[in-house]
Amino acid sequence: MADNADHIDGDDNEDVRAQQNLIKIKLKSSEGGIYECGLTAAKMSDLVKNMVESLGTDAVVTTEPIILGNEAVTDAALKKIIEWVEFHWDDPPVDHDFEDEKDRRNEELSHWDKQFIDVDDQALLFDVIAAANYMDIKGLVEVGAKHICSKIRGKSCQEVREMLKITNDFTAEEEDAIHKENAWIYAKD
Amino acid sequence: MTQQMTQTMASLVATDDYEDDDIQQIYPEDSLDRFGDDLFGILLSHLSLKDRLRFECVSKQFQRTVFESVVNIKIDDKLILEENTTQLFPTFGPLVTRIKSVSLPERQSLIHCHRLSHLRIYSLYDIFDTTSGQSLAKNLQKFEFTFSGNEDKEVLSPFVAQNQSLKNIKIIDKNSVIPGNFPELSQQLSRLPELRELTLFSTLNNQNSLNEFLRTIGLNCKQMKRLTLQLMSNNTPLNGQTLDSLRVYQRLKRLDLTIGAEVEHQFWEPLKLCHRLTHLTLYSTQMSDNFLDNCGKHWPRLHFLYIRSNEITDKCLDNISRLPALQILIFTYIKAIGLRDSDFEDLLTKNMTQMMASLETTDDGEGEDRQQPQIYAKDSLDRFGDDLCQLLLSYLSLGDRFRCECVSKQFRRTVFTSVVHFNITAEPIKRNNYSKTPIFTIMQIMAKKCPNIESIDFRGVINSDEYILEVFPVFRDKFPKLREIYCDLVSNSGRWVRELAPLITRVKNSFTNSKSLIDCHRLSHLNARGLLMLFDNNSEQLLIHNLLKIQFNYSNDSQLLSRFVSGNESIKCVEITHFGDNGLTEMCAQLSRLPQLRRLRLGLFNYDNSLAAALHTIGLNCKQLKRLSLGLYTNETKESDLKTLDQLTVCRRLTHLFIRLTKMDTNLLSICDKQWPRLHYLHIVDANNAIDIQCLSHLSRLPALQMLVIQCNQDIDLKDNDFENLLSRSPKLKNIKIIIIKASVGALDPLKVFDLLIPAQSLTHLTLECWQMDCKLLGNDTKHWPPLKYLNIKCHDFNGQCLSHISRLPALNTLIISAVNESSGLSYNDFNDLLSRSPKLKNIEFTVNV
Repeated sequence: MADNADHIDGDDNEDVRAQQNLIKIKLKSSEGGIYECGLTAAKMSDLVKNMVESLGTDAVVTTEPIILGNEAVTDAALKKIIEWVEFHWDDPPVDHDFEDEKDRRNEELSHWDKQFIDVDDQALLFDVIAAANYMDIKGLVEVGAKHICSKIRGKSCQEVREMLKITNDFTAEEEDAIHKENAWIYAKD
Repeated sequence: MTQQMTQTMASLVATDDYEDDDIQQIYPEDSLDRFGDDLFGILLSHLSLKDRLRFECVSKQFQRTVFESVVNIKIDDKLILEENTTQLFPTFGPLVTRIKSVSLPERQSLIHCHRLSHLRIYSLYDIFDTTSGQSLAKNLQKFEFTFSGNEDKEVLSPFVAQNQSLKNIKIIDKNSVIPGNFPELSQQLSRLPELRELTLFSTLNNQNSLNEFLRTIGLNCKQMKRLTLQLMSNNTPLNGQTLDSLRVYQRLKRLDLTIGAEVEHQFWEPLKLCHRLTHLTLYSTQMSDNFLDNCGKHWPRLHFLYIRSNEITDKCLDNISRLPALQILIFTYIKAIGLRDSDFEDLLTKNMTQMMASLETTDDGEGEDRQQPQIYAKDSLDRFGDDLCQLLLSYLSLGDRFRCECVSKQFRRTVFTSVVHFNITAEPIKRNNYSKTPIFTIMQIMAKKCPNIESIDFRGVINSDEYILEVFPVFRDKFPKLREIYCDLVSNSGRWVRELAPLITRVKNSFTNSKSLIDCHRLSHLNARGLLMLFDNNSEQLLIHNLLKIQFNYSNDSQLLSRFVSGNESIKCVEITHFGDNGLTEMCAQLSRLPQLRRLRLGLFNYDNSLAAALHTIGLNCKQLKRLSLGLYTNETKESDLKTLDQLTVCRRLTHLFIRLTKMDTNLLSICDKQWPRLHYLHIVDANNAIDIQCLSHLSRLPALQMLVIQCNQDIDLKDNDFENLLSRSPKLKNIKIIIIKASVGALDPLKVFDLLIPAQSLTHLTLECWQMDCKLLGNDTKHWPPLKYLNIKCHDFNGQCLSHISRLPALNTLIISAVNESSGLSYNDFNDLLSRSPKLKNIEFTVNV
């Protein structure tokens, strides 16, 4: 019987989260666009969570939008971010009994996340990552990071520069020195 | 009338008399009176001194604030440095920070100016004490002088020695004496480590260019960020040679070039290598049309451009419009060829859309540059700061980190800082096999590059390299943040364990010499062959306490297990492999004494009918159990599996479940939703293809399920549709992963796998894990999956033929291949070829995991 009681506790918590997500709050991008998002989903952003909670617990303001002033939070980026949190808000919460976060580092992205993050417009991709970082949505930054790292994997420096549009600020001599320093790693028997 | 009324809604006019102090003043919104004194002072601080004097009487507030912001007064009078200075300087010399000219007789006064930072003089010789030969000005920051050849040359060395802090130097070379004296001058200037800015005015009227001079300085003064050159010579080749020295100035951020003569097209080339330029000013009589071709590529960060030239063409403008970061453009020209006002407007709109660039300050720039936000293109990774960059790159493998170190300075700064765990057997260290590079050297390189390493995993180090653990204490201090070591305990480990024991937290493969375990007080994870190893041979004392995780083979030694459990009640994770066919009841009875148990993995071979009851005991007692992995392997047919799963009903808190039953059955899962209401991860190994639509429909009722993994062989009777159906019906299901396993070597016909997939005509994403890849398999894939965008193949072998089949997939965008066999004979060219032939392919990933 005690077991049963425990069990209901846990479910209650889930129910509360689901209930809260029915409350829609408004988020405003740096370009001025206003978008609706479920409360639980929006609170995946630590920034939004702190803002909402600092306003007091009893009444959540649903009429006034929360302003996200960082330039990276464009309309397009905010739309993507809301899409992500609305899909992931009911992910199992972090279980501190296990080293899940460590394990997750090495896991491949889920199919949904792969499709989500595979955007053709690199400027938008970087906006989403920068905005997620600004809004403090760790899971989404991780998705972006894994995506970028999977693109870097196995490529040469020049290919990486071209793909991610990175300026090579090394002189040829400096670059050679680093190559020489790391030569051992490519040495074959 | 009414208008008047609304404008003077102000009830009280400001009089600022003291009696009014307690009354809140209200001012019209459009009156400057509404601002307080503080803000007022800031607003007026931009007035000239003359205007300030003129406007003092505007209002009392003006009077109060208009002079407050005057912090700097310039007195243009020769008083200070000509007469009387000998008396004046001892007193106010310490306040003087900038001097514009010094006359010879007064130069002694300079010794009183300890804080002098900016100085302009005619000849360097002027500031030397003729008797002592000492420089009178020390620790300058900015210095301007006219170079006069021999005389100056002598005193240059002591001057440089005493002014190491110089950041900014301006040299006027009126008589073109620099080329003749360049070795001395450039060598001395090269000794200034802080030099940021160099200005050089040269008439250059003899036969030598400034090339060597500038080159030496450029190679030595690594901090140089700004360069101003005025070359008044009309000798074209000479100017060209001088410009060539810009090749060593690729770090420049600001460049100001004035050139007296026409410059031939090819001489501009070195300028195009300065990719970091933010400010560029060019004075040149003639500008070649091609000069600005591709300028957007050469100068991605340029935001200020000033061109003064005789003529300017529409082609120039067109090129300029491609500068991604340009904000300010200034032209001075005599003739504009074919240009109208509208052309400039066009340029502005074109530029505006490109310039939505975000502002992020990340630059390593010093001093004044720091306040200047850098502007980067939005689609460039350069826009991110070091923190975010480090986070993004933290998911790279060690090999990729080494390979990418030289992508950019930011990469170099950030790519290794996120390495907190170092596994010595991981690629590429292991592939190196320590033969080319001794493991000792590798450890030193890692210590140098990755200062944040917290844990090192030595498990699996091959015998011949085991000495690394013996010598490790010697350079342990090179890893300042090291807190944990994972290692194997082997026959001779007694020699080093004592040294490292305080750091050891995880141990694998403990052999007979397990006594050393007793020193490892922080040990939390242990992988032992058997329980016997955890006890002292002689005293039979339990060697290890308070573990968090243990992995061992059980062999009916319930006595030992009982003692182990008593000493390790805090254990959270237990993994047991058991080959015997009895003793299960006893084993589970002991395990059920672990109140903290969160995760249990059982691999049971030849189990008997007592299993169901044994599991029930655990479920009943271990209230914290959340993750269960149950692998049952036997050759006999068991009838009791159903009963076994039934007993798991008692584990209602399970969130993760892995089951591999000897014989899977649809009915086994019929009440799964009631059994495990919280289950969000379910992994089923289906050895006999029992999972069918009905089974999926049972699974769809699991209320919390998010991830479903089904491992089956190729004969499974399920279609894409069935899974999609499951996805749509199940309340929380987000991911389904299907792993096709090889039943036994030779027994699998891979073609059948494909027969299974062929009906999925609308497939867009496909992941294949298939041991034996046969190029025939992909022979007709273009027909099968026209919309396929994403293909991920994991296999043993992969060859060029397969690639050529793949190149015909019309919609393929991403291809990922992980092969096990390195000798697959594929070259870089094969992939290039694939990329060029395949209509939509953009990304290829190819990895070999030997």
